[in-house]
Amino acid sequence: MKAIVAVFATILGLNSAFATSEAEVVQNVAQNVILQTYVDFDRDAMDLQGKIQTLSQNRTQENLEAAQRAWKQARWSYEVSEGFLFGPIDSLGIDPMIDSWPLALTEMKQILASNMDLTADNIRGLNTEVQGFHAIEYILFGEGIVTNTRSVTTITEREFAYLAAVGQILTEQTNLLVYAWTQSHDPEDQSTPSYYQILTQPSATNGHYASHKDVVLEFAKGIVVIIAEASGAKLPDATGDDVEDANASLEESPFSWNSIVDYTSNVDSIYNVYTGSYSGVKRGAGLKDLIALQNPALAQRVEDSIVMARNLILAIPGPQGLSFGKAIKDVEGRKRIFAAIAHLRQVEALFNQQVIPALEQ
Amino acid sequence: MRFLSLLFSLFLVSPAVLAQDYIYETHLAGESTTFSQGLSAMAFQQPASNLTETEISRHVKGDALFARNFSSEDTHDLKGLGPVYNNSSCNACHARDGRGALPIIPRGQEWVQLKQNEAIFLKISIEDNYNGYKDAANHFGEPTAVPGYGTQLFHVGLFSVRADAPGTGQAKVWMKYDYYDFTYPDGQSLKLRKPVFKMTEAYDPRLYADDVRISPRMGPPMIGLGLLEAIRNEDILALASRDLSAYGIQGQVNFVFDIGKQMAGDPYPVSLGKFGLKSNTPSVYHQAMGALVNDMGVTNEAFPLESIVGTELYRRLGWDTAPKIEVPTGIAEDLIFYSLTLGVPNRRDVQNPQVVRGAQLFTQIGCALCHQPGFTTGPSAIAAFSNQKIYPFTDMLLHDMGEGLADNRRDFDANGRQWKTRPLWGIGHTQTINPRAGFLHDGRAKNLEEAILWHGGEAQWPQSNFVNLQKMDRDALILFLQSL
Repeated sequence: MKAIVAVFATILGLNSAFATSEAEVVQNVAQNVILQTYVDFDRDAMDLQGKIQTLSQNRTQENLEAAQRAWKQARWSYEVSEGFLFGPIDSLGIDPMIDSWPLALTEMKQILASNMDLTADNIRGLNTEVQGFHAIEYILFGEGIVTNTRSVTTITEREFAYLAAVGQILTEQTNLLVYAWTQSHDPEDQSTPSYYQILTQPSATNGHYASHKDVVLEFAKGIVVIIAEASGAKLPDATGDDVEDANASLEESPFSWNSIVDYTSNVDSIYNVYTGSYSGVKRGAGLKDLIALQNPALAQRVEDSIVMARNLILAIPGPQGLSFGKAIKDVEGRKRIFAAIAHLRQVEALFNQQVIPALEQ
Repeated sequence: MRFLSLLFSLFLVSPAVLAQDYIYETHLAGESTTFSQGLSAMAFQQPASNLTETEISRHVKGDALFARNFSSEDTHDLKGLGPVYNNSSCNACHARDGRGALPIIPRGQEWVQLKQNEAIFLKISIEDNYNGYKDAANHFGEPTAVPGYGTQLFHVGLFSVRADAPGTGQAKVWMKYDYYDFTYPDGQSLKLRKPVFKMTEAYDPRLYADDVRISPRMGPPMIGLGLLEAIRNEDILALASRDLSAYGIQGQVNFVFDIGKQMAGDPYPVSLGKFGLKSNTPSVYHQAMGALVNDMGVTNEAFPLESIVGTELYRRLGWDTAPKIEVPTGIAEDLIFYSLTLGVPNRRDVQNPQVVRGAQLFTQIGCALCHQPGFTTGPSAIAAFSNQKIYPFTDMLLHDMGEGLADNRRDFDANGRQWKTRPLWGIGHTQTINPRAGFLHDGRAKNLEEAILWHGGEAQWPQSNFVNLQKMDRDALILFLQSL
């Protein structure tokens, strides 16, 4: 009986068409969205380290500004990966090494004021809150209180050494990330498959993912995780319940005033996985294409909702062009932040209540 | 061949001895079971399905805190990290509420140093003549602290703690592997690994003395803890009184210090141990508050003194020795509530004939004697967890697990060869959550098969039965575990 049903399903093209679509989504998202994001992130982190070295050798304001731009580019490349915070970025402890926040500024100042050799080997073992993006950001952009830049002449010899060391550690981590995705998910054991293989070749016995459907659902759950973090921590933590509670030191990139870009790129990562796009170009099938097979209106509504979330975050600066750290202390700015948070919660509900159940069919 | 296999099974545990109502069960946590189709890295991060809306919003608050770092920075809301510690967030040891992984040994190196952000640390103590008698003088049976240290080794410290070794806590800890070959009777072989540890740059050489015992501990999963807490003591005691001597098995309970009872003024603050790898803590409250003050160095209402107060290292820092509460009680309570209220994912593939075969073998070869499938919970302060039929696959008891797994360190009434039977629910998601996750107390087993092979002592008989199964039956048993 089962065999007969299977034959009918095949003839009608139902079963196989759907299965193929899931495999296509996994293939496209894993390769053209996620892996490409990581490859570009690794390239941008190495470019940042190159700019840091150039700055260190030739200490001009222009070179400082080039390093600041490279930091922002690498930052974008990382934040646009946060819609898929599973796999090696998580299991190899890479995320805390590169993106612990807030920075432990007092401790970092103690380190700078000490006589410890500021080598990568020495700093690598210290608290993660004195490493990564935000340690680099602090030195390149300064304290971020009245301005988000500094004069190159104020950067001390030890800050240059610190910068080079944390820049090197950042690239070690991005290299490791690409290695685990393309070579062996366990860098200690070359016989293990790459994480890319784990996602694209699911099997009932490999202990990771049993089917393409599992992986498709994982993509959707990864989206929920970052929306929940954005609406539950990233935006509200610094904003607080009222103006008195607002604490700029809890925003994500307080020294460069880059937080709004961080949050926007988080939404872009959601968009990329949902639509199968990268850098604004659709590369192949995304979650949307699977939803559209069942409910084209829902598929479009979800995309529109993601775009709306992006627009609401981009609107936070308002007509005055406030940074996030300033907007949290401004009555109108706060309203715009809460509007963005409320909408992100709607997007999260849309995924939990409609997208994931549809993908489970 | 089929006949021989059947004959073989007749000598094993008769299904009549143990209920096998778990074979087709999908709701491992009763009404608290969470539903996730297929395997997922997020499978353990779901609140129990039967919480109220108010409870869910509290759980969500705790969820955000669980992932965040405590900081040494006084201006931060989550402050109080250190001065010495093992990790700076809950999630760093319990990644996505699942099992941790051992550190990566860089190519070409034999040893790797444990730094921040590892899922493992060492418990320490000195050999003593503990005879089971508990009073305030021996801290109700707690392991005896290493003089100048305590009962946990903090390998990380704030930068200012050790001028001679910046970023180090009490000592540096290093890990390497010893390897062992294992061959099945059918000729299939594999290599097992065991992490071994050494300490260097200890701030006080007392740590190197021969009487110091160390016990590596890997962060275990966080799921279903409120349900386990709701298991009635009498049900656990009843399991301990079973006569399983025919199988060489005798489970034992641990009686341990209970901070909750002490805070309530009980002169004999001792309770049945339920949590920790040796059942060495009585409650999620005690476990979580202990993790805050020890693993992260964050003082709280239950433990208001820094973990190393009274040691020479603390004296050198010149810090205040007065009790203080670094984590606001509301935040600690949200973290504890979160820890209590994670659900347990549903089982999958229960109709798969191989899974069914594996489920039957699980009882037949003796696994279920200790990984006792089901309980009905007693009353719980969280109504959702009262009177639930659950299948954690543990008897909540200590067992001698043999020389291979022994840490040779006493922990209250648990001796150096005993470990608590780990719950198996949700175990199939382990390496989806963390592809490098390791099994057993120190994460040595790279997969479930290796974990089974390490079983010895009271588990020797089921282990031998597993080893002597045909390959297809060994695979079926593992497929059953993967379905949990």
